[in-house]
Amino acid sequence: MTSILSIRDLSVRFSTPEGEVKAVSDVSLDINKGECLGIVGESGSGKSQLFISIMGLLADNGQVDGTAKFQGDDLLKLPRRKLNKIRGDRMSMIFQDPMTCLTPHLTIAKQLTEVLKFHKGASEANARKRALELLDMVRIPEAANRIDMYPHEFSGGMRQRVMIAMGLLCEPELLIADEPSTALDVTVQAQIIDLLNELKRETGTAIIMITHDLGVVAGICDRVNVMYAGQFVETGTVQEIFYDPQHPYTRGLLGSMPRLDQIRDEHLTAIPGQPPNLQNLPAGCNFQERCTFAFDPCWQTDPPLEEFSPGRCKACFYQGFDNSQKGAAS
Amino acid sequence: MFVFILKRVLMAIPIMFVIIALAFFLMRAAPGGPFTSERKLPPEVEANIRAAYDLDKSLPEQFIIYVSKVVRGDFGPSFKYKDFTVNELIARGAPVSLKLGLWAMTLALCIGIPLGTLAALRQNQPTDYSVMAVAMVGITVPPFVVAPLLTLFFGVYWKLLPVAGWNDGALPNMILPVTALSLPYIAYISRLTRGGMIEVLRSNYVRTARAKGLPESVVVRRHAMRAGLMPLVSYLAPALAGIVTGSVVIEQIFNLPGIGRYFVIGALQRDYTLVMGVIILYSALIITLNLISDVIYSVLDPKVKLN
Amino acid sequence: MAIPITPHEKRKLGDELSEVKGRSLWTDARRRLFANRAAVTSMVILGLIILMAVLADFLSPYSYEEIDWDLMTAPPTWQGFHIFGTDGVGRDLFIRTLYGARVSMAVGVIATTVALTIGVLYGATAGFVGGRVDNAMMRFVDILYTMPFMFFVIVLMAMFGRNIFLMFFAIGAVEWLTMARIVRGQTLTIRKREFIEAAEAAGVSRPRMILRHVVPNVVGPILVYVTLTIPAVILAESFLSFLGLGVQEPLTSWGSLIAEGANELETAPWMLIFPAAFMAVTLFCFNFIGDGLRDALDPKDR
Repeated sequence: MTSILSIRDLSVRFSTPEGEVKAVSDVSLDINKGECLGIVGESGSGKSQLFISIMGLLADNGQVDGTAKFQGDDLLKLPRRKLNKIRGDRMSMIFQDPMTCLTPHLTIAKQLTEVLKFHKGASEANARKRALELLDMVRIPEAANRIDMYPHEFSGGMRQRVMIAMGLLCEPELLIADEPSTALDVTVQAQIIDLLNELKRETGTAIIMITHDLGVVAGICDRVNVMYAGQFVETGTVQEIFYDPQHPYTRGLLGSMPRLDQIRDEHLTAIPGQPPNLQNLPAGCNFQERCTFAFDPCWQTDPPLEEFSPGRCKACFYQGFDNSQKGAAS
Repeated sequence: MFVFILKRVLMAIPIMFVIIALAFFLMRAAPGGPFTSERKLPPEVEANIRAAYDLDKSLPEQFIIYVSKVVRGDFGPSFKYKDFTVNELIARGAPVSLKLGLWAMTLALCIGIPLGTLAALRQNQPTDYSVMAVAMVGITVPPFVVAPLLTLFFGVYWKLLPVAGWNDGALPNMILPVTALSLPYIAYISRLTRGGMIEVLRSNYVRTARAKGLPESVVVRRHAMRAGLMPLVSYLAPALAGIVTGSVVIEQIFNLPGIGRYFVIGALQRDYTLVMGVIILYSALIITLNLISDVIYSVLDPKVKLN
Repeated sequence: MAIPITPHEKRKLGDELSEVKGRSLWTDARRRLFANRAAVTSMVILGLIILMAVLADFLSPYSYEEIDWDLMTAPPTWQGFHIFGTDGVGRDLFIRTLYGARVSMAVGVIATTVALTIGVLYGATAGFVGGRVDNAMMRFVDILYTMPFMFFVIVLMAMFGRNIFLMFFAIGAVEWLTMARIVRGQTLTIRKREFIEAAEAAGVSRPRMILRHVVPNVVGPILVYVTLTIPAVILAESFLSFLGLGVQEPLTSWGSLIAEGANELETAPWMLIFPAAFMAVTLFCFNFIGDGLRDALDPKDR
């Protein structure tokens, strides 16, 4: 398989008056055509900043190192003009927080058609037709009447769908969806997951799904990377991650998720403590303070992300997890 | 919209009335009168003059007479410029002040907005710092320091431009006064623009616009500019009011025949009607400008509904 | 997501919280302010100017009103210590500039205090009482905003004689409007916070609550506004003095000195340059300190 996006040793740093903060440290990943990769982690784990950086949208005080090859072009080194040819066209991103992501003084029509006009050189009429198609596709009722409205006349869920439509306008090869359904209620959330699944099947778009919601991951993803404190700590297929988690953090995440397919004989267990201060990371493993399995090496060396079976990586020294009995950590 | 404007116009009437009353009684409460400083007139002559200006009547009576005249658009005769009515003096002075003020405002906007935007786009870079340093100078060095210096260099040393005078608003005569008057506002406007733009450029929707791959110039003009300039719209009315006040000094320095000059002379010589006329004119102007800037605001921001 | 916390964790969290509290808003703000080079430099320079103004009589052998007919409009010279030169009637410009500083700064501080007092009382009351009263009070402020105040001040100064106390109040009365708006806005946001509810539940009376709980919490933005109002007032005073409506001879202010200097610019440029420079530097300093304070108190704007 050919990978569409291939990230190698990517780091994101922010300089703040209090010192440097390393939001993402040396992560690598690949994603193939038609595949959906989930990036799972708590808020603040750096999962959004990782992809914001490859879109060239980091805040002014942010700095990114490493490479991010998008079909041969290193996105991190491309000049602005060339990057603009890719983003929004062949690669697009759906942001979280739909309430603030649309320009308030422009109509939905304007905000959608400008993308097509710029990238595809579409005429006003054609662009509008295509925009309407997509609004229908994301199930905006009476799209024809609503397309000339302003964002504030839409509800949060509707705006999120507009954002999704905007991301799909040019049929991108890669779609990065950052918590696309978090702000929505459960039924709408399910619709959107269906929509993205459909898209993946029909157009072969590769999707990166950034979320902290394991339910969403189960619903759409093929593979999952678990992120903690700016690093990937475990990778694998959805099945592997759900049924054979090998990193204590992944096990913690799964344990804190309510499940319908299991009789609730135990309480949900939360991961104790908080993520470490990124400005001031501990020596050794970043998860040590919250880990119930931590032992000597964890305090000294940061466990590297290592492949322990084909396609399976983890960053943990502890070897004793046996999930064969219960099917999932609980 | 129409109802909103109507409401505001109706509300302006009592406000104007209060302003007129305040100015009227304040001036009359001050010691001395328009004729006290002149050489002693024979009592009967003075009585005649006082009668001619209604000064022999009681204060409330005078006020009622004055207001009823103003309502008809008659500001009465000037006390000091004996052959002129206040209307005539305003008709002479207003075009001068207006021309000065409008040019200064235009200049301030045309220079301030691009400078502020540039600074915002180059935030914390040398360009930004130098624009902001220049703006700081503009704010802290008042026009009445800048104006004499400009005159000295451009007028006296280099003899490029006339030192003073109006000359019917000829361009060379306009350059120095307009520049001196607009400098602080160029500074304020560029600071405001920079602040507004920086906030907007950090906003999520500008990030969305950039993520769409639009060229930066389109992002700035189409997506950021509008919201970035909103603080400016609400600043426009106070800015124009400030320019009007500032023009009082500028008219003094450059010896221009605007109403600001009439006003200061009038105030010093207790020319009641002239001072009243100018205050009424400026109040009306400021109220109108406030209304206009509110309307513009609502047009630019679809979320604001006027009511 | 609620996280159950073990006793050990709780202790640790407690330690962290007390640590956070120890570095409170003000400590943090002070640290940021002192890290701001422009603001610190400004504070030093401003301190020097104030010191010079206070010690004026010790710094010059002349008095501000001493006329020397033999030394009219003399350029700056070390001879006889006329380092800023003399004015049209031979008075030493150095001591006059420092006396001007006294008057200008006094006007700045006193008029700002007047504005502050009115603005805080008015704004806090409006914001705290809320509802219809708030609405009416703020509408009144809106109306006052539309008045050409500077013109009233000019009329006042011109007709009631150039009384310096009148000027304090006249300018203060102009500047309180914005102060009232800021305080009201702050009060509104703070009113909604828990500790006010707690005080209310504890039966603290309203005036007491405004004074004890609301006022201390709006101090930050007010402080910023005050440092930015003082230079605005100094400018307003110099504007009036320039028009000949400020302080009376032989007393002087920067505005009056600048006015005199502007008239003599061709023959005696030092008469404009020194007072103008002092005023500009002072205004610069206040503005930088104000900006620095704002950045220090509002960490989101970094």
